[in-house]
Amino acid sequence: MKEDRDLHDIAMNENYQTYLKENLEKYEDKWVVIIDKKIVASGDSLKELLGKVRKEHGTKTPFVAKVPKKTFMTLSASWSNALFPICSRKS
Amino acid sequence: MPSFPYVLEKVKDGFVYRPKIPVTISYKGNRIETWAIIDSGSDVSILPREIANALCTELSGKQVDIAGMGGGLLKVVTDYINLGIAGINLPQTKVFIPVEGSKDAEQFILGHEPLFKEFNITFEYNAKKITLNKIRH
Repeated sequence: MKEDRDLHDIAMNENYQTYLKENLEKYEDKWVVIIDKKIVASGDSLKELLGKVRKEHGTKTPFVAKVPKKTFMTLSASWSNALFPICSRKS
Repeated sequence: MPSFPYVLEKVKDGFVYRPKIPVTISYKGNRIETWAIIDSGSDVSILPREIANALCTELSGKQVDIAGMGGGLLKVVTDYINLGIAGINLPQTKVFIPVEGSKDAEQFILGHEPLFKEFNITFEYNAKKITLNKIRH
């Protein structure tokens, strides 16, 4: 089907596809850096990792991701009413 | 129209499918690729401080509070990045970055600003795909 083809023909970069396919269990809650379809670094500080990786891989654009913990998530963030009151009353 | 598969991830009791998409972020000559989770309940987009630090963002914008689940407030600063989504560049995209001492975001959260303002988004959970259609302003 065309729709299926569209889905599979996505122009996603190869490093992202590597991220999706790799077994990342041992990297749980760590940052991973992927270049040329390989995990080239992992750890807690992304800035340090990228510093090391750039020495070895130069200007190649890295794919970076923090491997999620195995927990359910709820997200959502909104402006605080404390800063932007919707209504206010004079006392 | 670019489509992206839901991402299957493990949780303690099994698996969940999450609406994540690959994105490119550039800031003053530094460029990375990463993924972001689409959050239709979020007014704004939140960039993890770890990523902001790695991109050497200035973190010097005005500090504001963001309310999250459970009523907690996240202290953040604003900055502007160049964001690439589905091959489309969104220059000077406003993001919120948790400040030092505040809990960091676990992931890059894409909320209404800018994602839902720039794209019509179709979530097809049963087909496990997300389709983005750029809005012409």
